[in-house]
Amino acid sequence: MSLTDAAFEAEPVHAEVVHGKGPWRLAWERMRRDKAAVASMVVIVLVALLALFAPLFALITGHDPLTQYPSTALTPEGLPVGPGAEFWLGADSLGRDLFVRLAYGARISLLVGLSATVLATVFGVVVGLLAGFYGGWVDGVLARVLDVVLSFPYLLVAIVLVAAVGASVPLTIFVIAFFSFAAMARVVRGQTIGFREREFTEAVRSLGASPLRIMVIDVLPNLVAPVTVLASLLIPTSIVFEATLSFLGLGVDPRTPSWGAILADSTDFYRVAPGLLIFPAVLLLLTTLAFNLLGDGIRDALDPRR
Amino acid sequence: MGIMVRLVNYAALIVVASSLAWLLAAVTLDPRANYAGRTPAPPVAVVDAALSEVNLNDHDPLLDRYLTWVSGLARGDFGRTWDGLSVGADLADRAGVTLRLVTAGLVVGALLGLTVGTLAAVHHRRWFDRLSGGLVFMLLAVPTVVLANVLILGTVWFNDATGARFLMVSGETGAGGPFDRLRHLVLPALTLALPLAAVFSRYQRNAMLDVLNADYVRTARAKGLPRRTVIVRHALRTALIPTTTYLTFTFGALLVGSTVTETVFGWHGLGQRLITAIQTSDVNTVAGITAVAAVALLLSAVAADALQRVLNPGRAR
Repeated sequence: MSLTDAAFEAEPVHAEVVHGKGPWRLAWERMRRDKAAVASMVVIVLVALLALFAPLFALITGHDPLTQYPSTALTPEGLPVGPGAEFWLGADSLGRDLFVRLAYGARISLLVGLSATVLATVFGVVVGLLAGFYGGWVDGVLARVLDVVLSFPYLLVAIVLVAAVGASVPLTIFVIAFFSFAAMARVVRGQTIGFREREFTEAVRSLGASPLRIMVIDVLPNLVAPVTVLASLLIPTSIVFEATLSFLGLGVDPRTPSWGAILADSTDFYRVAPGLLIFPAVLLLLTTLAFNLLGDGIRDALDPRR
Repeated sequence: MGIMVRLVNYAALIVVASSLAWLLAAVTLDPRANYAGRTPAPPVAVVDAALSEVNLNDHDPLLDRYLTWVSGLARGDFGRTWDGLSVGADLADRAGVTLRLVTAGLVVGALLGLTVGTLAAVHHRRWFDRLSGGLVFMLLAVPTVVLANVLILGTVWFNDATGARFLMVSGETGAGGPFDRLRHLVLPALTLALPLAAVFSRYQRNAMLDVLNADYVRTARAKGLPRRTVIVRHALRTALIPTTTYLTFTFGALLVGSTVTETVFGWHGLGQRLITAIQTSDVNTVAGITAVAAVALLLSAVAADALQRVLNPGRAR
């Protein structure tokens, strides 16, 4: 056995221990070491569980989110009772169960936050890709539209639209998505312009690839990182937007238990029942903070150079 | 792009934006509803005449109403509210209220943000930088509705506990006098200022960190100038440029962005008027506020651009 053979035989032993790690796996491992990101994931899971099991909580407490319980929830003076065994976080001014309402509110917040973000992301990516890839008049028209959307006082239009057509969950989602897609489209457009001129797109183009193929197969995968980061930051923005609209009485149907509407109900009673203000405020703050931190964690994990 | 082309573009954008707002409001809002609850019900002809008088009658052709509104706007006339008041005069009144609030919030927020950001950069990665970074992150996550109500709750508790009544939580003025105005102003201005300070401090910190590592700052230190002089005279001056530009731009966005703050604190400004105008279906007021907001936004964009050119001629495109 020569020296070379020995070296050859030693090789496979090492090869067994070494595993290739894909970029997503690496990002996930970086993220797991990020304490803030892990903590925010825990918070988000808890809020999601709160939303998921809202009917279960209603069953356990025996309180429907919309029903008023004046005999048990209000003191003889007509003030809402505080937190206790019967009403876990107290009752609101109309004698409804605050905890059950907050749990159902979590459903609205997550539903609106996630669906508005998905809509805005899909729409923004498509518009940004088209504008960035084709350039010329397509880009000119689309960029002008984005300018109008971005320069329009969006809260104002949202208020007019929601007030005029009537408050509902789908409309709220649509309004938020419409005014968030422009930011996404801007980012995607900028990145696409950069990739359009790179060698690898040139190469597939010279091989006869169709524009659609280049956009979807060659350019799009390169956009996953920035789009993911931006989308994760759109979620808390959308949740706050919904809460603000509902607080102003212009979001979802006012009877629906949304966090913003619950906050609005509390403003006349914070003196006698501060919990009415504090609990929804803390919940909203924790949720948005968690999504923000998670977005930051994702950014750091996907871009280790920063 | 030349500055003139740009201004023409912006003017077109303003006309498009306010026309869209007018159309949207005219098609969807229902001024007739203001007469619906009356007993005895006024005859349709009377309501029609009253609505036509102020160009709000949905029985008149949409195009005619639009042309009436546009030709009025071209002469600087914003039209009338459903009960016949001048929209222009009303908005001018309310713009003053909003302007006071926004100016106070912006000044406080800018000073606070610039100070915190500069200090954080100078003490990079030390405790002040970390602490302020954490606080900024918290503040950025707090929705305005929550911040405003928490400030009110805290003040009410403080007032109840101490028996003092320095800060007022609602309205713009009570008994009158400058001191009275001030104590009504503090909380809403803080509500605007704190998130702004958070954003500004991040901008300022980044700009300052860039500058502190620049060669000319090292040169200034190397030739023996005191640290403080170098930071204030050499570094801070340059680092202020991007933050100032951003600040100017923010001013326009805030004019309507203060809707929530005005509503919570009972200030009768533009943002709050927008909501009441929608409730009473005042199409002309809604369009007027959109026009004002678009003008403010684009003016501040132009101002930010011009400022950028003046402060930083080297980078002008």
